[in-house]
Amino acid sequence: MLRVDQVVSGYGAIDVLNHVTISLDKGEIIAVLGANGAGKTTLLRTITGLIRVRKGAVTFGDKVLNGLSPAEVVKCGISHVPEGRHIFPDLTVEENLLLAAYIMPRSQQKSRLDAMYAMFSILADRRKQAGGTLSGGEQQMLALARGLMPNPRLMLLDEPSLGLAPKIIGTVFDTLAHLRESGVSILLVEQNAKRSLELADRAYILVTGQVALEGTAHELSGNEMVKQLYLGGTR
Amino acid sequence: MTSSGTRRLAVNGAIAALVLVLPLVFRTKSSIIGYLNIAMLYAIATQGLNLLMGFGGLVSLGHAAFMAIGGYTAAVLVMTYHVNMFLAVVAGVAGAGLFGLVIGFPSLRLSGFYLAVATMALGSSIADIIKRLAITGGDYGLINIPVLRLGGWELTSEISKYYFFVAILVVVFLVVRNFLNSRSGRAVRAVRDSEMTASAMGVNVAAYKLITFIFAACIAGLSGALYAFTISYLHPMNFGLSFSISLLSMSIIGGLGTIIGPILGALFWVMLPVVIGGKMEFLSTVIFGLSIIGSVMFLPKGLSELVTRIQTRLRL
Amino acid sequence: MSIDIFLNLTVRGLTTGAIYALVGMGIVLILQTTNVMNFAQGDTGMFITYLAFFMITTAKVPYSLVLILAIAAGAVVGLLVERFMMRSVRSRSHLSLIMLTLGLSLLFQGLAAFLFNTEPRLFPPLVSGDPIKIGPVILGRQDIVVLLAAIVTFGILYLFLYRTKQGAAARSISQDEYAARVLGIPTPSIYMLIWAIGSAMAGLAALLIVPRFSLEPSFMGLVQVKAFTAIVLGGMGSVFGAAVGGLIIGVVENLVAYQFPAIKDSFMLIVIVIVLLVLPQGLFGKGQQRRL
Ligand SMILES: Nc1ncnc2c1ncn2[C@@H]1O[C@H](COP(=O)(O)OP(=O)(O)OP(=O)(O)O)[C@@H](O)[C@H]1O
Ligand SMILES: [Mg+2]
Repeated sequence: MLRVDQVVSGYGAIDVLNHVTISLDKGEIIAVLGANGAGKTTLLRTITGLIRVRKGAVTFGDKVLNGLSPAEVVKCGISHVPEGRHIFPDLTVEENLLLAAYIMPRSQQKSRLDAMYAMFSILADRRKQAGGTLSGGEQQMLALARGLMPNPRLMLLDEPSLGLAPKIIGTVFDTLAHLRESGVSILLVEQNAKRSLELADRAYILVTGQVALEGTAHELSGNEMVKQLYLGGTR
Repeated sequence: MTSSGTRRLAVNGAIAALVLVLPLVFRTKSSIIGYLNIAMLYAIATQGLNLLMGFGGLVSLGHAAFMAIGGYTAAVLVMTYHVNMFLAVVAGVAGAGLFGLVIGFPSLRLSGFYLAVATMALGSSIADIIKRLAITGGDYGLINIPVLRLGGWELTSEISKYYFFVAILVVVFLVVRNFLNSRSGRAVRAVRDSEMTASAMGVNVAAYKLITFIFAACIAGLSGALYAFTISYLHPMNFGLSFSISLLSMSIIGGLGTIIGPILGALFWVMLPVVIGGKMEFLSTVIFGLSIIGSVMFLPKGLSELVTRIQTRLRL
Repeated sequence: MSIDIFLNLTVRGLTTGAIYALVGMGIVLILQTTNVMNFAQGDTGMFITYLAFFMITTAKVPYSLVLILAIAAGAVVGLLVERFMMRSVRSRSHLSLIMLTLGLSLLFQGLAAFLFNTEPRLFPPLVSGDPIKIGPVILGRQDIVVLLAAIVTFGILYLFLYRTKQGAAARSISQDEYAARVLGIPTPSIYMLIWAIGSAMAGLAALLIVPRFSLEPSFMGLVQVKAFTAIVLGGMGSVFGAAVGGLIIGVVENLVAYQFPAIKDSFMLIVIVIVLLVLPQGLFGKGQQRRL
């Protein structure tokens, strides 16, 4: 469904991604792992149109995403939950959610909102509360809900477990497993390789802007290099 | 020496010669030399603004006020208190610097926006403040301010003023360049490029901003004091907000962060209306506005960039 | 000062303050959403007022229609400025953006002087007739119009910001522009909309205040300085702060001019220095983040 084909992109004079090729089928969860600065966030930004594709192509279904604005990419059915959550601190939970469905007509917004409140009951209780006053875990739930608001077919998640307590990380991954059931495809960027490989169907290892390794989650979990570098093995 | 080095030396030598010979060419047209003199006075003040904006990344919308403070301080000291002229100029510079402290200290602890607003308030109120003081001649202005004397030499003719301003401009130029290459100057540029990095490196960001601002105010004060003793006439209305904006425009059009920018900008500012002529006077304001917009959008180093490009094209 | 004089000065100060508030709110709206401190706000209004003047005197367009046309013209000017100037330089430094607006302000002044010459002209007030007496307070009809217009504008702006999705989008951009783009909010069109609204407000404010002065290219200069003072007093960050700041400046200015005429002209400067020294966040500021 999503194809990232030999993509080059970056900032200013620097290319961060060097001919990255990734694909994802409908209903799949794939994980993209890599060290800090490997280009994982850059990959997501390139898919969503936040930065320009310099070479190669990004296609979704039969649509070429190259050159589309983030707003147009969201319209195609891709949502992006950014690293660090980026909740609007002074807007209410409800406003945060509604803005994520900016392009939708009002009636549809309303039904999506109800669906989100049904799914995340903590948010329903705090709908009039300012986003900045939520706890870290609650903010991550809000970020996930914002990603789901536009009813996407594909969700890009950038380190959803970042800075959360283990128990809450559990909740986040449970939510993702639950999403798979409902048919949303997920591209998951994570530092937490162990849990991601447990959840994902397939995975890619990104090293300095290039795909160093790819395979099923099972294969990669057994790979010596992956074990050492990402699963806390000893050298 | 490389051939390009020789060539540069030759070009600079030619420019220097031109600067020195120019007044002799226009010997009979002292009005043209008069315009050049005004341009140089402005260029001195603009040199400070250029330092502030181009190297410090800060903006002053009330720079003419510092000129006014420098000019009035110096003139009043000489005329009312019969202070030695040289000391009066020094006092004018110090007075402008002091005002720079008063305005800069409260605003520079906050973001650059606050400095813009505070200097704008200073720029817009200075004329009225001066008008209300008795000692400044109020609304009549100060007339017959004594002309600058250097030893026994009185700067009455435009040509003598011309050479004097060229000398001062060179001195200011050297002082600014030395400042920029000093420890403080490097810190100032570091602050402009990234406040976060600079403060991580242990640079006291607010202090360096304040130093730059006061320095710029002092240079404007110098320009004002010289203005008083060469033009011999001060009027509050000449230093209002619109003149501050003019100074700012000169630095932008000339090219921020370049050393010749202020001179080019001031020349352009003074000469364009002369060239266009009185009837179409306001066309020059339109052109100035467009030049600023054009510089910011397409030529961040303004006229100096244009000059450099032409130079490269001609392989000078 | 007798109580009657005090009341009169205060109410008249409020009407002047309402103008500062209108100009200031436009500046804050643009600053918070697009991160541009617009020093051309006053002169945008000035230029539009010239257009309005010639619609009234030369084209004999009825006044009420002119008001609407002028506001529309302001919106168009704002759209053009955003689309053709600000958009391509959005990522530049604050300083560059400020310089750009200064260039714009000079351009408007030059155009006004070049096209219409600088001779001061009398601009007729929107409503004429004898002043109205409310208790001890005597108020010109135009002043009442100004007050009403400011209240209505404030109301509309409030509804826009808090009741429409475009308004919510503008607020979200002011808090976290990156997040807004990630969520798929079409930020370029929001920027255009905000420039249009802000510039329309500039036109309205200038048109309402011009009968107090005479129409000349510099007439909005001082008004803009006071609007900026109001913004600093209100805390730079909020449209509401700018409105309250504007009203306070208007009233205090009037009282000071009556009681201490000697400091009338340096009053703005004194206010700014004191506010920055003792109350740097202003009355309603929450720090230096961009907030609407
Ligand atoms: N906005 C930016 N401007 C310039 N360079 C950037 C920008 N964002 C990231 N980079 C650079 O691009 C490279 C890849 O960064 P990226 O954020 O994609 O890494 P990442 O894999 O997401 O790392 P992390 O695990 O720390 O989030 C890094 O070298 C980084 O410095
Ligand atoms: Mg990242």
